Amino acid sequence: MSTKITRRFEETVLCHLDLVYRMAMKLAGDPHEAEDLVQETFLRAHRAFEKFELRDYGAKPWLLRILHNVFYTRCGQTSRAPSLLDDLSLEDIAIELEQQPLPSFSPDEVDWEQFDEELKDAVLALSPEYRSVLLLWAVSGLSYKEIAHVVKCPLGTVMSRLYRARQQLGEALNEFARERRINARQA
Amino acid sequence: MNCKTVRKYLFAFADGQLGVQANCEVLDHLKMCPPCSKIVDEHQAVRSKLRFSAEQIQVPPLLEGRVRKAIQLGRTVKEDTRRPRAKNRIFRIVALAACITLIVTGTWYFGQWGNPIGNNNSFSSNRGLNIAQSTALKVRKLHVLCSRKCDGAGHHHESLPSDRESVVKAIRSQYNGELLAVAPDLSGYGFEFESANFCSPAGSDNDVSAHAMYVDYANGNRFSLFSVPHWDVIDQCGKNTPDRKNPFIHSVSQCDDTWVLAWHENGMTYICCGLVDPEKLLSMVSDMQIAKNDVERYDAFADRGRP
Repeated sequence: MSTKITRRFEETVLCHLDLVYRMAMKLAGDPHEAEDLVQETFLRAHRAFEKFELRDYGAKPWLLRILHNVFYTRCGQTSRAPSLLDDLSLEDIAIELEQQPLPSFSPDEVDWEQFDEELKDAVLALSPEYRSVLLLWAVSGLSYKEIAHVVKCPLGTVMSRLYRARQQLGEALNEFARERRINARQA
Repeated sequence: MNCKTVRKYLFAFADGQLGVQANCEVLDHLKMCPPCSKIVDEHQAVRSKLRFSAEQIQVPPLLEGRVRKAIQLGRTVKEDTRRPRAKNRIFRIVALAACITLIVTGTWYFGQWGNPIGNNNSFSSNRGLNIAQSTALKVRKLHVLCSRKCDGAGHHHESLPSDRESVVKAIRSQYNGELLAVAPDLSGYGFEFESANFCSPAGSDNDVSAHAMYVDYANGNRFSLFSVPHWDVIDQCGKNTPDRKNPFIHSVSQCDDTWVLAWHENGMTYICCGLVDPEKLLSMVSDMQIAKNDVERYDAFADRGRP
C-alpha cells in the first residue's frame, strides 16, 4: 500500500479508533476482547481500504459495520438472522406502547450516577442484535439509515430492534429502581 | 394528531429522524400531552446516559501503536510485557563475565585480603559504587512510577502541549531558558514521544526538572530522558566511559535490565533510563547530540529575550 493511501487511511479511518474501542468495549464488556475486536476491525479495514470509497455514509459507519461483522463472527452468530420480534411494524410498536404502563420512574427523579453498573449489566444482558443497534444509536450517534447500513437490515427492523432494546433496558432499570426503593424503605 | 398516531413516530421524533412537517406535528402534540412528553424525555435520558457511560471508557494509550503494528504485520498483536531480549547473545555473555570479574576484583580489593591502595581511597571508591547504585535505583524508581502513570491516569502535565517540539518550547519558556529541557526525535530507534512532565529524580533539591517519556509501541517499553539542573551526585558516581565514541557519558549504571546513563552539559545533567540494550542506548545518546543542540537552542532563546 502506498504512503499516500496509508496516510489517507490514517486520516479517514484510524481517527475513529476511540469510538471503535468504546463500541467494542460496550459490545464485548471485556478490555482484552475489545482490543482484539479493534485490532481485527482495523486489520480488515486496512485490507479493504483500497476498494473503499467515501460515498453515502463516510468511514465511520463502514468501520462500525466491520466491527459489527467481526463481533458477530466471534459470537458465532450471523447478523443476517433477525429474530421474529424484529418483524414488528410501526403499528405494532404503537399498539404495544399504548398497552404498556408508562415507566414507573421519571428521568428527572432518577439518580443516573447510581445506575452505572446496572446500566452496563443491562446492556450486556441484551441479545447481540439489540445491543448492537442500541449502541450504534446511543454511542455512535448514527442515524437510523446509517444503522440499517451497518447492520444490513431494513429501516423498520432497526426501529423495532431499537424499540425492543430500549424496552428491555427500561424493564431492567425499572426493576433496579424498584429494588432501590424497597431497600431504602427497609433501611 | 392523537396519542396513538404520535406514538408511531415518537422515537423517530426524539432521535431527530422525522421530516420538518411531521416534526412540527409531533411537537404540537407534545406541548399538550405530558404522558407522551415523558416517553420522549425518558428516551433521551437513556441515550444521554449510554453515551456518557461510553465516553467514560478510557482508551488504552498503547492501543493505537498496537493497531499500527498489527496493520504492519498483517495480524493481531498481543500486549507484550516481557523484558526485551538482548539481540546479541555474545554481548550478554561478555557483560556477565565483566560483572563477575568486577565482583571478584572488588572483593579482593576491599575485602578480607586488605586494600593495597589505602583506607581513604577504599572508602571513597566503595562509597562511589554505592552512590552510583543508589542513584541509578532512584532514577529507575521514578522511571517505573511515571511509566505506570502513563498506563493509567496519565503522565503528561496538563499545562504542556502534546507534541514533542512544542513541549520543549513551552518548558523553556516557562523557565526562561533556565531549564534546557530536551526531547529529541528517537523514532529511528522505535521510540515515539509520549508525554512530558516536571519530574525530578534528584528530589526536592532540584525540583525544576523536565522529564520526557518515550514509548516503543511494539513491545510497550518506555524510555525516560530527564533534564535536571546540574546534579552533582553524578560526579560521585564514578566515571565510566564504556565507549570512546561517547566521551561525554559521565556515568552508566544498571538496575536489573534497566540502564541509566547520565552526563553533564552546559550546566544541565541529562539522564536516560530504560529497558534498552546498552549498545542501542549508547547509540541513541550519541545521536541525540544534545550538547550541540543545547548551545544552539539556548543562544536562539537568549536572542529572543535581548532588546
